[in-house]
Amino acid sequence: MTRGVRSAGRATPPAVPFGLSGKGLMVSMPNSSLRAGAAKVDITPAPGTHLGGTWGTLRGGEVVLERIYARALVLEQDGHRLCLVAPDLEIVTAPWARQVREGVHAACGITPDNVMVAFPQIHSVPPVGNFLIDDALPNIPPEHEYLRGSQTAYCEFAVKAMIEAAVAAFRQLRPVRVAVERAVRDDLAFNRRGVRRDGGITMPWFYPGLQQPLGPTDIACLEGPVDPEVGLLALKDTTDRFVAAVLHFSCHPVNVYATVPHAISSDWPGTWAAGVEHLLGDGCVGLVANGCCGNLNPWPAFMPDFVPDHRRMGRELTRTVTAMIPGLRFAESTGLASAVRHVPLPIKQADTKDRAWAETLLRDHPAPQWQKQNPRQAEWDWMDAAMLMSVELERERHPDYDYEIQAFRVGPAALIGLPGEPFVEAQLAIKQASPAALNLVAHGANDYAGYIAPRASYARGGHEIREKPAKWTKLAPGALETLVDQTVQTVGELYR
Amino acid sequence: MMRAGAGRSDITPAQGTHLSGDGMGIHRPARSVFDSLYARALVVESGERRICLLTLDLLCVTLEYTQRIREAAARQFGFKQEAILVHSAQNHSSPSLGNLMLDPDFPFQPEPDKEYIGGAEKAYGEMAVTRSLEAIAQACGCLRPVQMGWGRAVVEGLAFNRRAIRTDGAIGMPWFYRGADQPLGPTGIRCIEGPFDPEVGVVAFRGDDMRLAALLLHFSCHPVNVYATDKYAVSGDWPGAWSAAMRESFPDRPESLVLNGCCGNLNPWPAFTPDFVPDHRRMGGALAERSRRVVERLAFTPTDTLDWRMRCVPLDYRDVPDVRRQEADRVLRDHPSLKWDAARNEVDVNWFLAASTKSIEYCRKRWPRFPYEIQVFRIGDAAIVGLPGEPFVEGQLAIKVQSPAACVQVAHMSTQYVGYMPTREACARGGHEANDSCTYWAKLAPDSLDVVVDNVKAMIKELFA
Repeated sequence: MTRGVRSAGRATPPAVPFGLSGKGLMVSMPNSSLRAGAAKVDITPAPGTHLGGTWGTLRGGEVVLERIYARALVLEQDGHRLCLVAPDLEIVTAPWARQVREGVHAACGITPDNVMVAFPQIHSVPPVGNFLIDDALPNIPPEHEYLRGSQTAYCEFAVKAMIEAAVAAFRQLRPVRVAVERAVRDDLAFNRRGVRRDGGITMPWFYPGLQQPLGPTDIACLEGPVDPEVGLLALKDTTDRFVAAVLHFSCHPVNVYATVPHAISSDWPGTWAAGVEHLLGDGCVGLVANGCCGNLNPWPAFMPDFVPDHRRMGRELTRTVTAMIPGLRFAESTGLASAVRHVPLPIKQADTKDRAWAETLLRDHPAPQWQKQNPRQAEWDWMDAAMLMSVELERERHPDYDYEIQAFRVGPAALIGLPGEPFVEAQLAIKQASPAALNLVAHGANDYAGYIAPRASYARGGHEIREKPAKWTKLAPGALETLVDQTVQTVGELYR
Repeated sequence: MMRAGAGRSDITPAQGTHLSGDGMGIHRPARSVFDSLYARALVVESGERRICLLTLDLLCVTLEYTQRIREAAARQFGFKQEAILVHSAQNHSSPSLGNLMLDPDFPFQPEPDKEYIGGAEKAYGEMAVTRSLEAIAQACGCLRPVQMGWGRAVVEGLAFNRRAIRTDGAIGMPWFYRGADQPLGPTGIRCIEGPFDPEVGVVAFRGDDMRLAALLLHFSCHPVNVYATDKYAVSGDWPGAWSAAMRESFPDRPESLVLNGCCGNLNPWPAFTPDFVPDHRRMGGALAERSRRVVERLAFTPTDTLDWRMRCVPLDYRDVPDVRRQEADRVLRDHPSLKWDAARNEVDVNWFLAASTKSIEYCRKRWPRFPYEIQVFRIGDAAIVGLPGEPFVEGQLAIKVQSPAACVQVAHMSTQYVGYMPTREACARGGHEANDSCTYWAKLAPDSLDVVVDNVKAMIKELFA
């Protein structure tokens, strides 16, 4: 079902922007210049706030490696307004994203469908929303609310800050010109699904060469590709100052999570954004659209003694942006448009035996059970049962997940928001079919839908596709193919 | 008790010998020698059974030459012909043993100085056959009781999938590039199509006296480091450099035979790394460093299990589109013998490609379905697989994953040259290996790789049942 396409501009002869070869760019020339404003608000959590990326235990933040921010960009042309909110968060679930979108609507008059809340899935910051255990599952005491995924106090704080950032951006609207550029590099993100010699899937980890002199010999090969693209959408005002830079790369932000579990850090998206803000001058806001990286990690499978380092990664990406700057050709925006499409995606049904097992376990132990040897860690079985029943409850409410595809057109660039963690294959297919000169795909937009893998990957299993459903692995095979098809159509509408 | 012996013989070509591996019939007379080329032989015997692995530092070997070697070796040393595996490394800085570019039935009678257009020169072939038999004789002459060990390491950064899906949807072959010229990298590439195989495989034979008798080494990559940087140099490329480095690594100087795996879509340079310089010695050295570690950790056990299977699997050909066939016929009708491009002083490219396409027709006339020979040797826990042509690495990985054999080493370019064997998906995308011109090196039907993989798996299963 399609909710609709809104676009700015009147029907005038088509133009080919930026000397590109068209690629179906039938655009309406706008009446006015594009205006843009950008801002950021500090959302660094208080000490002890639960950090996402794990389950069943409180992972309180103890040291701050970088401040984390909610960044926002507001765009306006011919009365049509769009807003991108890019917080340095792990997750924002739909109820909280809705609050942000409605709050921005109330404050700035931007319709909620035109507000995209895209979280980069940083694993060293708090989540906003319960993405593990369903709110309808009872018996989790308030002091252990983090077992559901998040802490309400921080969620409320972050939502308020995200709206503040959008409002601040809105207040700074001023005429801008736009430029896009692309680069490629393959040394910063790596496919993380190792096909084992027994046919199963394992997730490669970094390793010391001394302890594994022959390397991880159980891995026969890697299952899939990476996306080497580094994308940049730059906005400059009439005084030649950069207003904002929307940055695109695709990789799990887990450098810090993997090495300093209790540190608060914005990982590579934050260090990249900060590096670009420094590079492009005071006042420029760098917003990272982290692409479809459900199967991408920042370490290679077969390279001994690799040490994940978010600062190095951010620096390298900034270096790539530096190389892009001389080639930027700023021009008037050829139009601002947006489209939203809601696609029903079937939710996996738990195996009957698994469900019976979960129901029995939760009936016998309705409250969280804790490991004897580690009383701060919930029993794995109890968590598994609670997570399974959470999906079952969700499926019983709605057998289909309402997957929202959101696409903005900003002149030659398409900003595409996809909930959850689609595998990179989806993004590559979307880019290949898109008529836009630059596609900035933001996974984790507006809701957490869990991993979304290609059909071919389901047979192999692995972390992202385990048999027992959980909210992070709940969609039935075929979801990725459907969302690709629907996204291609949605983006196509913007360039019709 | 298993016995093994190994030998080698120098097959370095004389100056001016044509170096094979260029797809357009271009003449590449040898002008310098970076490394000597060798024929290496490993003979393994258990009871009445005896197998021979012959590896050649050459581009390819055709069926005619494989048959000559097999017949002579069977006659002289008592092998069953199906127990002789002849493998060429696909080294692009060496001659070819037989004409691979045009079908043997294609009516082509070049002047002596144009003989190379078919892909090879007979004078070199005679020398290489003689020397190959000398290597086998050496191996047979030094058979001694051995124990066997096998192991593997994994490495990345040495072989890279070379099929790039471009932003326009077509397939391109990445090339190494200067960062100063392309500061944003090759932005025309959307992503890389497929995987690579990181496995560095080792099978070792050790005598009762603790001396290493021979090594079988396995990695998968086009040997084109030297070809890409000096087209007129003779070199063993990475297989030669690896073999030499391993031979020098141990006091017994074990003969080290390299089995180059399915690398139809693998090159030794990355797509996105600026200022990468292909270097066969660095690559050989890196492989030696890894494989030495494997050898140092091997556990040797006695074994007397030795067996083999050979199957000939009929494969279909690609359908040459009518337009292409008519175009090829027109070019060859206008120039039935040879069209020479005087300006380039080379064979006319269009004529050459027409002859290449027409060669498929001659091949089809001879064999309505292509008889694809698969060999599998079982040596203890190891399966050694010989596959003609250039299968894509996906085929090799499918053979290795969930294999009943603990150790699998695949040798592509065995027995004869049949061209590339891409995956079905790759065939649909086209590119050099599945080109629209329907050349002789891209003649097999899209399902060929799947058929071959299924057969190899069945043969391994049978041997390891």
